[in-house]
Amino acid sequence: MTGTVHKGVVATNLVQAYSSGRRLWGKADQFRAVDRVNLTIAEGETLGIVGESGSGKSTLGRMIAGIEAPTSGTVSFWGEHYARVGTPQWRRQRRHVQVVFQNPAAVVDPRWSIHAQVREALTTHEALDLSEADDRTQAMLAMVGLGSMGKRLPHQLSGGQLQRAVIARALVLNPRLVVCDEAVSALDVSVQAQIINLLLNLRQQFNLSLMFISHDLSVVRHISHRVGVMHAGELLEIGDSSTLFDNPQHDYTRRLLAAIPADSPRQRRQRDINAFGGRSAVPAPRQLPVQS
Amino acid sequence: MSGVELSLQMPALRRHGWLTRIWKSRPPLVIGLCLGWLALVILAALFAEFLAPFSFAEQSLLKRLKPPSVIGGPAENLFGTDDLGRDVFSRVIYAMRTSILIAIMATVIGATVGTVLGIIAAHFRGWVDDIIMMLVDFQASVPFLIVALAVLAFFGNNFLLLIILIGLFGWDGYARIARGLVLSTNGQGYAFAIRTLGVHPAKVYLRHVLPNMLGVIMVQITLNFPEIILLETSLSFLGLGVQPPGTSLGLLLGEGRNYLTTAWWMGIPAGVVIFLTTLAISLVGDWLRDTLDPNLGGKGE
Repeated sequence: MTGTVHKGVVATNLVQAYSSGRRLWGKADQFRAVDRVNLTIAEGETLGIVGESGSGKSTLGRMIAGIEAPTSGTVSFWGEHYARVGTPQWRRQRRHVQVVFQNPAAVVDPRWSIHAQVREALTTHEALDLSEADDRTQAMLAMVGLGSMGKRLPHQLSGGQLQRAVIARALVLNPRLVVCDEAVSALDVSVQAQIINLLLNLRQQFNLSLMFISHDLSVVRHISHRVGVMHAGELLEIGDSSTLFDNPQHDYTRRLLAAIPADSPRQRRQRDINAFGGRSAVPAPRQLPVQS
Repeated sequence: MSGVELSLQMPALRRHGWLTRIWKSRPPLVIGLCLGWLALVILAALFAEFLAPFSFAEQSLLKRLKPPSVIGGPAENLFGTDDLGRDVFSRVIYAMRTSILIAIMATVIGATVGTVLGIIAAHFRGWVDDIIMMLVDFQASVPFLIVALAVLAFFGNNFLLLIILIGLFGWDGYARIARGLVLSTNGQGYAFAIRTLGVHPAKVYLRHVLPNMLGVIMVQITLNFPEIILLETSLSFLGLGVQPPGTSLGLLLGEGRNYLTTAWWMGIPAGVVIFLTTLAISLVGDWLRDTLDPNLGGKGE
């Protein structure tokens, strides 16, 4: 490291171990959800993380965002370490890093209007008088396309609108990094596209760093500069989006990519030939074992 | 997109949350009757001085054990008189006041203690949670009436002790509910999400979690309230609750027991009031739960 503050996130040797139930005698079983992960996210960069369910990508995201302390390893966030979770300093750090979760309906207070919720985030970190806070909240809501819907309660919005409200709540703090944990997975495809375009827009306007966690490879490919592949807690492979998708190095990555639905049977056959020398990654229906 | 047009027509629908929901769900006739009876009870408790024709302790030995006016008793004693010539109707009204007062204060104590402990347990987890949940299990497994009897017999009877004791009955229900709700909102829910915005946990609980919990707590109160009335009644009936010359529904029942065959009007009115009140609250509680539960998540769909 040079003397200047590194602009971005550097994660070194991150480990998150959970003990899976105490035994009556003897040691508890340990389970490493995330195992020795190293990665960097530069300012303005979008890092995609793909992997199947349970591969540890969400846990990794939570550690990168600082809402969960790693068992070992460090996260350097613009040269700074996260304070212990829940401390006043940790709360102050929250304005620089925000998380957008999968299910927007679960992460908003059902009784508060979205305007009030976005404003609460803002006034938590800045001492503003009410009218100014209202103005900035309104501007933020307008930016995500909800300018006329501030008075609505969460259940009066659709899933996509609600996710935009959540994004507004995160971005009104003007954070440096936003971790999107399956942020579009619960939305239907056309709405996914809206949200992704919104994120791409905002990324530019705010010079945001994004960590985009998803099991949807095509979405990740579309949005990310670089992509990392997680499997069983380990970061198998990380590299430029195009390089990784066109020329995957790791066998697991190849299999993962083969699972993307092809546009046509012809394309799928071609892809299988490229990747596996003609053997299909998925058994043809005929070859499936007959069920009695 | 249809959600947009739909919600445009009813933007103010959920401004008041569960209250509005109750109002919109149009209570059935039985519930209306129950609510009416409860209103009557509360009014009687509030305005006992104006409603009762006699003082609850006013004796008239010339008028002992007179039957209710409808079956030939004196016109001014609607429900007849007791063994000391006191007006049963007036005594029932004053007894309602005592019993309702005790029940309300005890409910407030129980709901507050339980909710706060439940939130604390869910917030701190670990050994704090273990201890509080152990207390909850303890409370649920102890025959409370026996303990209450022992405590009252040991420390002597006073009104404050009685209220606190009755108040502690049922706190475990609130604690369980509060803990469960807080755990779910803390896990992956909005309380957790709002904390990741940097909002202080105390503010999250006060502004977000508690208001959202209120509906469920209300339901629990309606379930707990009749039990509390019955507990107070039992204690007074056994002579360890409200002491004469004070009066409560249980005490009236206890006094009436001795004359059940000769002057049934001494005990029956109090019994009927207890029965109707607890039944009404239970029914209202069931109805509240049915009305509120499907929407607890706050989602319209």
